[in-house]
Amino acid sequence: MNEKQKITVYSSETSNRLVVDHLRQIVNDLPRAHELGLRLFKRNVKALYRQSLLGFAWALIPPLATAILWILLRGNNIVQMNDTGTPYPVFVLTGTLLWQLFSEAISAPLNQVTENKAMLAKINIPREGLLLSGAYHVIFNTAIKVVLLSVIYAYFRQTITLTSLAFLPVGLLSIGMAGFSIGLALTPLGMLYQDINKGLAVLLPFFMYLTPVVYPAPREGIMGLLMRANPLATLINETRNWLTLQPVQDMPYFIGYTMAFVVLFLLSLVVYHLSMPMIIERIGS
Amino acid sequence: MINDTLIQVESVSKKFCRSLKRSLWYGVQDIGAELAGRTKESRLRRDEFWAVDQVSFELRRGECLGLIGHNGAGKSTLLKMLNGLIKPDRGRITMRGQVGALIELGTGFNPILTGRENIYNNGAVLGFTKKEIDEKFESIVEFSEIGEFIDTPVQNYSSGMKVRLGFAVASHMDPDILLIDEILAVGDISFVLKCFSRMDALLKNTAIILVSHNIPQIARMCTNLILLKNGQAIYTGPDVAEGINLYYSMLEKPEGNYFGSDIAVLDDIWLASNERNSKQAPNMYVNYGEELTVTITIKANQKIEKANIYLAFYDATQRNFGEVLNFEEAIPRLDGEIGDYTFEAYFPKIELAQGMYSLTIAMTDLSGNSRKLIFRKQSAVYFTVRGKYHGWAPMQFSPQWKLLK
Repeated sequence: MNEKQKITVYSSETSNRLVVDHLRQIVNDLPRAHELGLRLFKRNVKALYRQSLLGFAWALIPPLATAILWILLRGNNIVQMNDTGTPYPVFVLTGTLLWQLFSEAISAPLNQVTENKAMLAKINIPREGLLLSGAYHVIFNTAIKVVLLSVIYAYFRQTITLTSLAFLPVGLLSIGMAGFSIGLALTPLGMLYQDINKGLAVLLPFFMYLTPVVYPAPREGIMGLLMRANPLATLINETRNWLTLQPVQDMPYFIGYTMAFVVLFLLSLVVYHLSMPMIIERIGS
Repeated sequence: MINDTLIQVESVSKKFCRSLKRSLWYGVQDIGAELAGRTKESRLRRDEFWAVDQVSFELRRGECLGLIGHNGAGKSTLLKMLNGLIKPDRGRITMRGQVGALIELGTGFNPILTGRENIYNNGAVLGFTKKEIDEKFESIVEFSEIGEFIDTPVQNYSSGMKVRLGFAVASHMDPDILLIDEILAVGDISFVLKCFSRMDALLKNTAIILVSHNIPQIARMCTNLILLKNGQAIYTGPDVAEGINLYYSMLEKPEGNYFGSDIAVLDDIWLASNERNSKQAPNMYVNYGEELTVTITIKANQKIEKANIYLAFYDATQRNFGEVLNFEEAIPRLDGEIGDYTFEAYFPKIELAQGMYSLTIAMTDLSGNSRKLIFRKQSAVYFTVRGKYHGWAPMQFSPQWKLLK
């Protein structure tokens, strides 16, 4: 018998508590959510690689394929672009790997929640655990990418300084946060309507070419303005510039966008937390 | 503890929507209202209905509440609200203590991982920490009777093995409140019995809510009962027998198949017991220990010299548990005339468990060497037995007991 009884009340009243109160509750539940999230992450990784010959390589194949395609296109002068400052393979691989991080992070929340729909509808789990499981998977895949990146940098004898290395986690975190917060903001609606998932699949590749992933960011003209208005352009470009020791151009934008994404993340987290019972009610089991 | 009421449910209601498109859109509206801090629409919108309507009850530690009713009566919806999966649209639920739910077994299992790994997966979903599972691991494996297959991928398990492993993990929860939804219907009988003894052990320190269509199981375990019909609790209380009687009186009584020849047709069959007659009362009932008369009229279109009438008793699950084979001895010959016959079978004492039963009647011709079927009517007539005995078996004897020494 429990010494101290936990009392839970469920009622129809909408909670009129503040965002901070909800966040505090989410943080209090974090240890339980972590326990579940870590277990689900381990389960997914084990199951994924036990039934696969190439294993971890699958985390690298999509960005590598894009990079190789662009190395070929540019090498054969099919497309022309400005000087990138660094060897093009280093430039494009850094770009595609960073983009891949964003695209994995944006799909992670909705994917995890959809995959575990049956569990959500039947068992009262700490629902933030599903988000953590998705986040752990993104972090894991990113670690593999960093290993590949260092191999490529070594091969091209690309100089790396301590400052640029120290900035790497900041850049990765910022890009990951951008993807994850957008994905999380879309999750409640995406659970109800398939359109979100379908839309993401269509828009992500399109959006990639609006972002200077495979080409250097133009500084002037309409495109230059567009680049600064596109948060991802700033985040990816700045991270890559730091890593490849190119001049860093838009640091204030970088900081501003990152902070905006942190705010979006916290708000989306509360929305997710509050809307889950209503979503479970609608999706059935 | 002074107040050991663990569950308090105060006029709880829940709406559902019949149309999916509208349901999703209402979902968006409800989320909007929740986020804006506005009160949600508590009246019914278009296509909505009350899936659970004004249900109230309380449950203390050591009590077991049975939740019965037809499919769609709102049992699972009520359970989901108690489990905190969905919010009530009206009313209030207070749960004191740790809540455990046996709603589905083996959630979180991944088929290509081994039983060992899946114990950890399932355990994490049920809220165990890794340390807790480490401690309980041996006991879980032992309970599951999986033995050497524990390191085999779960996809190679039989469905019974999966259920056993799932229950083994779930039964190691130590909650104050346990919610159980129709999960013990699976597995072989020895394992089911094991599950029961495990639940009996849990019941001492737990308040249990059990949803089941298995009435003997409800009767065996429950101290309280709620009978739901279209979302409303039409019976709430501690008299489990009365609630079960009410439930049986609600059951559909489908007319059975009739197979017949021209030789004779079944004209009518009715029951009577202590002035009550199945012709007048559609819900014919017999009190335990009282008499029952079955009256049968047939119309013979041809001469039948050696007829035999056979009766079979079926319970609500269509199990044939009793037969009548002594017609021949009592009425060895008919007079052979064409026309109407009326027979009466008198049972002085009906010793059946409470529940709904039906009688199947068949008539055969025994003249010549072969037994020829004349007619057969499946579930020709229904009756309910009321009484205090509601055990596993339909037959409930009451012998005369004596203390000899």
